[in-house]
Amino acid sequence: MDAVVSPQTLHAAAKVLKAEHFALDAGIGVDRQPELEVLYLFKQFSDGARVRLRIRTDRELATLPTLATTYAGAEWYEREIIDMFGITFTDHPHPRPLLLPHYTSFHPLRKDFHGAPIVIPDDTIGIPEIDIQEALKQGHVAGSRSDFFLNMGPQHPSTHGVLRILLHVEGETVLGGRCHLGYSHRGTEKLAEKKQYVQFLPYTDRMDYLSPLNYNWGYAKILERATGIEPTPRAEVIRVIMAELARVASHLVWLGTYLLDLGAITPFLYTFEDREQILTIFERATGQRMTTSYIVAGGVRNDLYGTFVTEVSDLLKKLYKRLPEYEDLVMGNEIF
Amino acid sequence: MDEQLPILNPDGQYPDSVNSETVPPIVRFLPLQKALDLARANSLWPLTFGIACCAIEMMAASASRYDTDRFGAGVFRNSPRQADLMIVAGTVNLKMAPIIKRLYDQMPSPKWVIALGSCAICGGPFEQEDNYAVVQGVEKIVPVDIFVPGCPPRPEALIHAILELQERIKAGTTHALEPGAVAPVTEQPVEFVDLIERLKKQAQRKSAQ
Repeated sequence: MDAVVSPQTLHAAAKVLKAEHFALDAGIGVDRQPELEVLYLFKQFSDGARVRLRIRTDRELATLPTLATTYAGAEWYEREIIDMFGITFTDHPHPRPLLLPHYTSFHPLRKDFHGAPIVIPDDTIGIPEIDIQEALKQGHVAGSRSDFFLNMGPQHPSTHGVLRILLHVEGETVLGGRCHLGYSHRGTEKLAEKKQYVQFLPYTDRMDYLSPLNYNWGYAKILERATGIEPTPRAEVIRVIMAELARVASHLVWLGTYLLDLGAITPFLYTFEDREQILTIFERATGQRMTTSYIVAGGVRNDLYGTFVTEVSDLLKKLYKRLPEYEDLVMGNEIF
Repeated sequence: MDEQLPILNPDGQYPDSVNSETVPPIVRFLPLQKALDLARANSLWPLTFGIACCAIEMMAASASRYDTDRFGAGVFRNSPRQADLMIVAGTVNLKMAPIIKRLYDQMPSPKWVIALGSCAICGGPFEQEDNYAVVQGVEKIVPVDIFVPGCPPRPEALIHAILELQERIKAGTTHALEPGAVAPVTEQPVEFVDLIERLKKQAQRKSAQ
């Protein structure tokens, strides 16, 4: 169901959906020149029913009621929309940028935005003013209590990537935390506006660089559905095999680095060797180790090479033998 | 030694005309320096610092098949205060840039930087006119010694970069700052000369010779 609702009736509609056990799937901003639109997707898990609610606002006014009071999960989606479209949500619990730095004043996904010069201020890390205000509001005046704020990340060995958490701690007990995202935001959506559909394929590799083939496939599927292209059965089989290999390689990275965080270095060396063997097959089949761009709309870019089947079946036999070894290496380790 | 030490101000600071990077050390022993350079070149400790795709290849380079430990560069440190090599592996964006600068400043001198992959070199695939998020090259923030092209570069490319850096450290031709010096803050970011233009000029110079 797709419905355009007025800002006044949004809350009533959301309450009806909540009573029917609909979960919020996503909140998306759309620039429908000249109006701005916010699209909420709801899904009912019991029978898969989907509902779309659209609310629209004037470009100049750009003010809408928040959904976060009914669905708490809408908070981050709306913060992203605040960044990208400059829409103000009244009564939003934490109305501050999610992906962009707090000092920027542009809204990139509006269609009339055409790039901004990159100005790097000297130092912008530290506790944002809004967090200090909030702490003061809760009665955490400096020196009055034993709890304090601690910054963790974005360069931290256990964040794997760039996540920053502002921890609220008392001694060694974590009372709460506030996540700060956007340290690897690359503006891919804006870049996609200027690209042709085929040109955008390599960017999908870089969205999930651990299993790029799965992302290639998702993107190719969209193009196929939109254009009505049917891939050949052979291509479909090749896609499944390659995507599954990519998934295994991705899980091997997870296993190795997760144990690395716990202080076990040895499993990392084993899992990465197995991953290298999968990457060798990728390289022979696609020409690249990681950023493959192999699954394209309509099929795959090129056919498999001669010894692919024997190599993969040999590898799988070897990996099956490895699994108990991994378990023994980790769970059988006295330190663990 | 002909170099004259600049005179300190009454408040113990160098005058503004003196760039801290050019201040010579007070005592300098050439043979000892050479020995130190040799030792440093063969025990590079990189900073654990991955931003995007290239970080996975950096991990692969340090893992069992490629094993940068063979060249003394496998001891990845989690704290910048223990590291002397920063491998910028991935896309540097607007929000990350000040943090990279801060991490670089926290590393003790002498220190070196490898820009791994197209994004760290020039923005890579994210270089476009309506870009608002990606810094077009980490060179605008910190001085870079080695650029490794690729998207992402293979682990062999990173190993080659480390070997090249070792050669340069031994020869004393890196951007490494003397102990105690602080990287100068550039007001204007370094503008990239178009690569083709640069190559053309180079070719012209060669043909003129």
